[in-house]
Amino acid sequence: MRLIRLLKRDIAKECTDWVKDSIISEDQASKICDRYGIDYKKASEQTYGYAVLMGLGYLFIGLAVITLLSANWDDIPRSIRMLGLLLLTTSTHLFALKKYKENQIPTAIGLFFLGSLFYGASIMLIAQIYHIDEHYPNGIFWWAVGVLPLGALLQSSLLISLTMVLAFIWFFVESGLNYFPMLFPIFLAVLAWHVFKVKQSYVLFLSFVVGLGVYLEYALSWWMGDGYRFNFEIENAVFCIGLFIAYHGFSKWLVSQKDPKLVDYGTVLGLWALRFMIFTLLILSFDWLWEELIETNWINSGFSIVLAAVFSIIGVCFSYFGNRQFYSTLSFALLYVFGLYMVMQTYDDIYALYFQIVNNIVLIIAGVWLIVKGIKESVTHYFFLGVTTILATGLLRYIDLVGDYIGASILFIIFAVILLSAARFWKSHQRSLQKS
Amino acid sequence: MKLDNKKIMYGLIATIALQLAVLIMEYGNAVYPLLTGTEIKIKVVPVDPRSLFRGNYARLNYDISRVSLPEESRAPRVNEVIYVKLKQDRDGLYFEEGVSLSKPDSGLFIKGRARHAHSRDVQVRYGIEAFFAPKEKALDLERELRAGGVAIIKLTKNGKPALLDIVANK
Repeated sequence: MRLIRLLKRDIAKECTDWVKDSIISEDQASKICDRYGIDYKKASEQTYGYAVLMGLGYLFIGLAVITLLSANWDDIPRSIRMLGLLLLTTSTHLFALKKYKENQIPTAIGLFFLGSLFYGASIMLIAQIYHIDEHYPNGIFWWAVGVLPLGALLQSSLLISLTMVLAFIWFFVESGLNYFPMLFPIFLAVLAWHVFKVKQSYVLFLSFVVGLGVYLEYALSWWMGDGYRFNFEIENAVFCIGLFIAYHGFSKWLVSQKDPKLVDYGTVLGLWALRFMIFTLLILSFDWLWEELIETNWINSGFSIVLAAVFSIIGVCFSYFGNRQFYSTLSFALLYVFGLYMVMQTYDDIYALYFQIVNNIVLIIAGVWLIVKGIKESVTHYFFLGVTTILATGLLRYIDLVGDYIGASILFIIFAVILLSAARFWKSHQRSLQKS
Repeated sequence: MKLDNKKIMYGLIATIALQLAVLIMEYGNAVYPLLTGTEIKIKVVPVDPRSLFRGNYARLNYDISRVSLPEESRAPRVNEVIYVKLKQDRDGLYFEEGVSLSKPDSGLFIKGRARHAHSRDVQVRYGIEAFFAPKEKALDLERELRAGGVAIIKLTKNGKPALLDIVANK
């Protein structure tokens, strides 16, 4: 999974320069861009920057009007204020509609974006005029609901982004007031349709991945809180790790698809899933955390194991049906399920030290695996992630010793043996390759 | 996936109508108690915060913001609906006469939601706890109301309140 895929615009820009310098022909530039799923001609038109600046411009016009109006314009009669808000929102939208009819799509999208900001400002200002303080997340929800169809109909990433920003704010404000944001999946469904079927956007794709994970986490907490409050417990951490194992497998499946858009998404997801798993292992490399886990009162240990197994099976299946290279997902899944089972079966926190030692050895092995994979497949991010993993493990264990000084020294010796053995293996592997 | 232009146009018009409908419904919901409700007066004390989304306002605390459920009642869940029966005193101010988790059959009552669970002493929100005003006016109001004040509220038959005004004690 090479990260060069994620730098498509740079590839297109380089190709334009090479064509200018007569290094390659336009036809060759087109073929190179095709390989990464970009339209060479469209990419060299550079409309992206224009669209971003226009969007930001409209955003600031909207913010200016909202700030001006929200200064509690007390002197104007209520009915005039109300009428003014309706007129401002409607006239902006009608002007946008006119532009759409004239086929000036980018201008129409910009105006709909501005009209949607006015719409949101109107919701807030009506609440101000009439001193409404009755569950204010509803205002944010209806703002998001009002923008959602515009984004879907115009297939605009700008309007979908606005919808999702509002939807996420609503999600956290609503759950912060102890209400379950039941309707959030509607926004996720439209977002999924947009990123998978309409337009490529890494940011929106990652929003979908995060949104889905957060929603499922909160749903679990709501369920554990008997359906009327959020109850965050250790099961949420188990769920989160499981979800990332499933995401890791899913990323491999995406990478094996023909559609370049899906391949790119797979690359991004795989990268972040891997980073998350290494980060989790680094967190678990402290003994106090294992002590906490051993002492944990599991609400339902059987449910947690089943959950872990289900996520692992999903991850491994995706990985297997993708490119058949399922060993990394399988290794993480086995570690996850076995580790969880073992920690549930342990009742004395004296054994936390053993869990910690095994976890640290796993980290070093993962680091070596990443370095070897990085060199073998010429993928630099694997190489650097491997180096970072090993250095971070060494640093953490130097600051936070395993057991006493003798124990720490023994662990460092074990690390050295693993690393030196890997180096020797690598050298002999290279020699055999050269001979053949 | 591409929709034809005509369908998109209809969809856009429907969305604009939806946005207008949301604004009109919000307006109607705000105005309905003001037009049809019974006017009552309740003692009030302000505090002054600012909301990122909603501008400046004085946060109001009423005598009826903290109530106690009778012993035979269970403790409410967070956000559960609470009904507070109201009675007028000799000064014309309204005070709490009883609290329940079910809708009273008769009399004047106000509907709110419990903010805290697992106790019969409940902090209740009625949706009339914010009085929006420019920053300076909100601060003036806070100063004027230090000695206490009265909130003028309109109350519908089903207990929905709307805040009309606040008057400082003289």
